[in-house]
Amino acid sequence: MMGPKNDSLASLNDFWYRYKKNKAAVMGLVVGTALFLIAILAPVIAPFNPIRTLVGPVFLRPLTPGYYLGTDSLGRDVFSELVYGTRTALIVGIVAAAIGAAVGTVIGMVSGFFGGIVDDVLMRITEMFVVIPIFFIALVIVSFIGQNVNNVIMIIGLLSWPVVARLTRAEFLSLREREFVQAARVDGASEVSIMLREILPNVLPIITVASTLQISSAILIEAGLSFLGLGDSNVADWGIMLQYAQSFIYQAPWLILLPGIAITLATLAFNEIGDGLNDALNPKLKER
Amino acid sequence: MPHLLEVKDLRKQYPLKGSFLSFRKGKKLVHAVDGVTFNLDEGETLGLVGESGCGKTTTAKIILRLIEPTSGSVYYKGKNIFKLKRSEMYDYRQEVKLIFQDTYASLNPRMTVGETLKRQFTLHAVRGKSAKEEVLKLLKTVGLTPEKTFYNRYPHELSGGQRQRVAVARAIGLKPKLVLADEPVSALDISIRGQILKLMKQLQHDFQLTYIFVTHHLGVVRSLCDRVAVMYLGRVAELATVDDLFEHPLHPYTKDIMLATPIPDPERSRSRQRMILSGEVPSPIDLPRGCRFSPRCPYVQNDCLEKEPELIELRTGHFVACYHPLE
Amino acid sequence: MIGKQSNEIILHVQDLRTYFYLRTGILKAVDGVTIDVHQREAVGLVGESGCGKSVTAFSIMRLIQTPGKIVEGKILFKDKSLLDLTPRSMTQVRGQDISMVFQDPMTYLNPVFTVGNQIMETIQIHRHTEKKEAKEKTIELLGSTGLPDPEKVFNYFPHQLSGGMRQRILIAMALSCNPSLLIADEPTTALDVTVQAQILQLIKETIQQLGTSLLLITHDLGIVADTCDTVYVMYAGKIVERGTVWQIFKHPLHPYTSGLLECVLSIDEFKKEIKTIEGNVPYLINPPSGCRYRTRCPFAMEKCGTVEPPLIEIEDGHAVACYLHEAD
Repeated sequence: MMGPKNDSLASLNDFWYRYKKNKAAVMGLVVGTALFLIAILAPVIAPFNPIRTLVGPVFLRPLTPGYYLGTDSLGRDVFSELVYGTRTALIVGIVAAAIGAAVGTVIGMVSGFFGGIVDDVLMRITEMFVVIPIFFIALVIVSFIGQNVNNVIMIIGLLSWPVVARLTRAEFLSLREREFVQAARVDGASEVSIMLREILPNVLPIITVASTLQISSAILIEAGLSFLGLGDSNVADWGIMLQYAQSFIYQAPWLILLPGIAITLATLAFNEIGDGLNDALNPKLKER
Repeated sequence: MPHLLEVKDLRKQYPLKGSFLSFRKGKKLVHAVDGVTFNLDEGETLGLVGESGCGKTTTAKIILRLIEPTSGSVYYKGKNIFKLKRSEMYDYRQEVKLIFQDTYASLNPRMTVGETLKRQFTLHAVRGKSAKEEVLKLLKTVGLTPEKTFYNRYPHELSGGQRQRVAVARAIGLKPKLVLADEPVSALDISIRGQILKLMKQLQHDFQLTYIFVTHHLGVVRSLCDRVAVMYLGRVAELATVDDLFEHPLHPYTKDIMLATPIPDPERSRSRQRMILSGEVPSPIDLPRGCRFSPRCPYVQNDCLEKEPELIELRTGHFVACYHPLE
Repeated sequence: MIGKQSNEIILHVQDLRTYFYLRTGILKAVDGVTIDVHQREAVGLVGESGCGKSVTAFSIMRLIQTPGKIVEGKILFKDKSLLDLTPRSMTQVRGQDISMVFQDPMTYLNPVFTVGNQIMETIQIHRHTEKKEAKEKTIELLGSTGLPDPEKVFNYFPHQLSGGMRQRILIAMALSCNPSLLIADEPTTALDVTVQAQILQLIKETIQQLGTSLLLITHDLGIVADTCDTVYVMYAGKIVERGTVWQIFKHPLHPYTSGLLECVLSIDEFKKEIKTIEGNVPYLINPPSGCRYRTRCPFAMEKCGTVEPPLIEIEDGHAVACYLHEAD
């Protein structure tokens, strides 16, 4: 039998040990951290105002001195746009995923724990949100309340909560009749207390992983919305870059490639981080 | 003197899945507990014995108000436990406790031992620092020393014996009156069992506890209980003092499980009369019309197939539900 | 008594060592175990959790996987060294010459195939029989285990059967190819006591009939007393005592054996004082020097901490590894 561990720091070490095993996840963490730093240091790194047109000649090729990655059809600096675009992607991605996680957790928790009519009603509502096509909703909302980043965040948040809600509900359903819950009842705990203090901490790792994956998805959706012109036109954004680059595939392929790579990298990074978190937080095989 | 606990004709039925879709008569029901009656006095240790499916754990959980019975009643200190006011329930939760069978599953994997044990103290108005002190004292009482180390351990960091001690600690922390123990030592190694049983005996003495031991292990019952109720398929088949039951068993099922229990001595074990029953314990869904033991009973007669025998007091303090008891 | 044993040894395990290479160190689960099983003999390997008895069984069957490894020792089955066989040849041995029954039948039965199918498959593989013949043999086997209506049971899936029935099927499968040795690892621990009695009876009768030897691994001293001819007591990866079932139960020599026997609560006697063995099993990553039981032994002497006591035969067939009983 294994000896008992003596300090709680050991669990942090264990966590990192398990996370480390997934090489892709470590890469994801590196890329993610890099993106984060780029976003924070944007004003320092970027030479130009990203949305200012004609900072130089149009269609400059990448690696032209002074304009690291060239310029686009309106003379905007591609590098600066990419750098500031990181901010948009990360802010929208993380905040939207967070909103989705928060709303989804509450709904899933109440639904799964209490069951009955509450569960039925909440699940029907959830299903409604799953069925509605994103871009249609986005179009409708945007046409009523305008195009800005906050609206985009809200739209994406609304679309990601059903996933978390279902997951949370499933976990609460499975855990609510476990013996440690019964033991808490014998201790004298109230139902709400059991839901929040006994079960929720057990579900958080799973919610964390799901939310991290939602960040990927949010980044992708955000880019898609901007590409379709439904995003905020006043901020630098990878999706918008793609939109403007559409007509110039042959003349200036870098205008599509570069934002495309950025989107892919960001999406992949968070995907891998989510995967790594899953391995680290939910070890399936117990070590002997 | 009134009994501490009175269980009267307790029944619990579960509908079989899918049966609520069919509206035909005769829905399939699982009769987990099918008419259990017994009393318990203060300071006693009662053994609730039976094999899987006999309903002993369900009975225990009903007494703990973790499960609602389909019918029947449970009286604690003369009050119906299903009709308690909020303040009375608060007291009930302090006085009646359960040591769960699965010590791993009954502990929240995300909470340390200290956090888990502190819960009931804070819920019963012992706050903050003094709650922690109470828990440390408690850990010492159950032999989990050094206390501070165990306070910070997680369930997966404990051995089976240590988890069992935590389960005992959780049950006796608030100095209850009645403790139900569901298989408290069955999952433990033989050499460790004694440690836990000795502890439980000591605690009974120190805190004047009343125990109900729910177990399938007759050996433990022989040495630790005052009285025993043998359960079969949701009902009590026989109820007597330990000596009466083991020396003069009246119900054929009691005799059967006694003979089936191995004795750790080749001479005593191999010289016993063999009565190996055929068949398995049937499922508590389609119960036979008469005595529920009749399909397996080697002494079955016609009247056994007609009507279920009631639990009657054949001798002083010795109850049996059988038309043709063994003696 | 189970069966009259002849003197022929069919399984000889000598000085077996199986270690597990873990992140935290080397776990010496089995550390020098010697066991002999004779023809028609029922041998009990008794010990508590962590003593290495299951690992011993899995080592004999060569079912140990990384991080575990058999680092030393000989395993001779009918004079054939099992450790020298190719994996393919070992597969032939398993199920045919040596069979194993485990504690939880559910994990060893495939849930998506009917039980009849699974038994048939075993028969077909090992005996190269035709499907029709295999099916007949299967139904015959199912009937012989006492299952009612074997033809119906043939088409059942594992989850449709109770624990006792599944265990019967596992035993049927294990004995279907008439092995010389049956290894049963806690075969009845998960079962009710009345079902346990039936299963043990089944095992006893069948091996009597077929002349199979039995290696029964358990922590339950009661079933050992009832079923076995010879007993090996294991503690912390080592054999501490060996003898006939009468010798072990009537005059145990090792303090652990006698301590264990005192702890057992039997149904035929009331024990006013509950006995226990204080302390815990040592961690097998860095076991204590000398005798591994000395940390819990009430008779521990200074000598016990130096060198491990060897297993010495004190009287005919009765051997113990303890300095309290040094041979003259």
